[in-house]
Amino acid sequence: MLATLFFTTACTRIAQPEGWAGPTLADDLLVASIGRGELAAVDIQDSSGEVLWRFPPKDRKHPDGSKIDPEAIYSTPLVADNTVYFGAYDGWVYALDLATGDISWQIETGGPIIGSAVVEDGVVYVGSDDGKLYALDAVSGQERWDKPFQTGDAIWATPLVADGVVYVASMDKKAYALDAASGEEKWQFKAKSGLASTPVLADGTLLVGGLDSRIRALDASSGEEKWQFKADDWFWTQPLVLEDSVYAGCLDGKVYALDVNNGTPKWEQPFDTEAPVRAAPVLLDDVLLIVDRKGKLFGLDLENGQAIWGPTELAKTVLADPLAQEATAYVSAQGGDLFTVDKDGRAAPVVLTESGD
Amino acid sequence: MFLWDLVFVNPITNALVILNNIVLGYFGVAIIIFTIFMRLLTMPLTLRQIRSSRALSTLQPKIQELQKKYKDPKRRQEETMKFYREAGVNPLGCLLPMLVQFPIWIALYNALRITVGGTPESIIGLSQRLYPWGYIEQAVPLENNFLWMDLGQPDTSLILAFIVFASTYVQQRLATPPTTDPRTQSTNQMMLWMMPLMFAFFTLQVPSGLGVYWAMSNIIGVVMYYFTHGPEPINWRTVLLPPSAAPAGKQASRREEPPPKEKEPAEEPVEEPAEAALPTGSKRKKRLRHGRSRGKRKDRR
Repeated sequence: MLATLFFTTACTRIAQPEGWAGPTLADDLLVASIGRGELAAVDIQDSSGEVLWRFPPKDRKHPDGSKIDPEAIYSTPLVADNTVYFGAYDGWVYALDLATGDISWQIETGGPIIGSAVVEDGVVYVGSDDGKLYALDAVSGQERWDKPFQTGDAIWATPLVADGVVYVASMDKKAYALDAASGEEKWQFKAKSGLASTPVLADGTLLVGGLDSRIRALDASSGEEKWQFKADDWFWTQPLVLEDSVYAGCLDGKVYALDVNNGTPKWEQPFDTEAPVRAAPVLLDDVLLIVDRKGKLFGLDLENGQAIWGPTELAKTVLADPLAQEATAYVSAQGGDLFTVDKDGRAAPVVLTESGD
Repeated sequence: MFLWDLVFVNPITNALVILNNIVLGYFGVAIIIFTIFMRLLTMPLTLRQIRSSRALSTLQPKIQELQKKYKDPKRRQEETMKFYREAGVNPLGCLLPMLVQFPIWIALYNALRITVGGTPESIIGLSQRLYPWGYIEQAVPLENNFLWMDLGQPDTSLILAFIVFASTYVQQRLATPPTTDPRTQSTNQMMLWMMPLMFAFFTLQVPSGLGVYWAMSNIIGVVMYYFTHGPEPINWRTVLLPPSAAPAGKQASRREEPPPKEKEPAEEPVEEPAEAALPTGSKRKKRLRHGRSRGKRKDRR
């Protein structure tokens, strides 16, 4: 009995959040999560890899005097007007000075933040695990709506802002369209399961994946469903829209190419990776870069879904969305390792020096 | 590992999620119902374990007598085993049902760890375990909050740890066979405190969903013991009080009156176990009679 207890307890670890923040590029600075709950700005000019600053700072605290401990960062940092915006698992939204990493402002929400923040017209929109969508002033962090928009469950997806409308998917199985200025609801659509994937827009069509293994196309103005496509597992990736095609990775380990207009498959068969796909597909010139959870990279032909190259193995777990910059992508692995991948599938680690400390 | 997951962990994980749907998304309630179901499913094994344990405790006086009588360890063991055979009791009888239940317990632990993990990474892991049925998919994400607890995190309020401690203590106290052997008494006494303390400590380390399972499993164990205890009433005062605080002379027994024939076997020859020292019940008496006849045959030889 005791032996079993020891055995099972040894096998039973508390699941620790690790984070899957993707990298962001601002001029010659790469802002990326380089460890659990850590963010850093890396100078990539001339491949120096110098770390300019790290977050959290050792000498700063929350306004209530408590220590800053982000725990984990899932939110891909967003850079706008020389400020870095992101949310952390500790429930705080941070705005940092891009050059120094100093905290411009910090606002606490009611739960961990999983999705990324977006900035539009001086307003930061960010969802929280407390089920609320916050609209914050980009300069001061003050709330811009009378009150945050409340959904029925956690918001893990990044909101999408376009033409004065905020689209947000929630784990309460609903997608919402809100007035960006006031936060008032325009419409809502109910799916069969939680919605964790970040929606994208394609010519008046909102595309959103869900934990009911479906990717749906909704009329962006009314929320009416145009079509849906069902796979064998959940869609948690942000789809990529190119012309009249939508490309989406799935946790069933496949990558699907669908017609934006009617949801019919564009490839003869979906592309099979070797593990679930959480990271969003990105385009490197004319090659579709796919990264699966095992850190295997594939370059696909957009037309037929055949592998042009791959797999290139990073030997790391990858859940973060890659960042595409022309013919190069930055891939952030779990644990904080950073890699570059070119359009021919050559991967190289981004070496970080500690000179910035 | 793949087969283990396929046969044990994944079905239990999916069953938990289905139950979660049935109880309208209260995952804590789903864990409780699942624990009850599993305890009912393994009840025949548990009952066998209780009966074997009880039978062994009834034989204790005679075993002690044998141990005193035979100084040579080999002979002592032979005689002891012979006595067990004659009494129709398997000394491993209480261990085997427990061993059979181990895989189920471990699988349940794993399933709970997977389902109440709570982090985004663990939810992606959960997706790989769930069957692609719409009824199951609509349950995600699971509601981790139950009463005052986050089922995916340890309960730091100490309330659950206390409940686990108390329930383990009571179950342990009921399940420990009474003994007059001072050495066994000392071991039992140590285990009586060690086990609840260890479980309480583990409750503070693991997701509270597991703590809920432990507490519920213990409570069901106590209820099961209550209903299978037999004609003599349980003296809850001696169960709930620490052994040192129990009334003098009753430390070796949880029953109202000590068995009157407890010392009789000591006066009887080894080859002829006394009725009082052997398990009750017609089947066991039959075995006892069989044992006696064998003993007589031996005498004849």
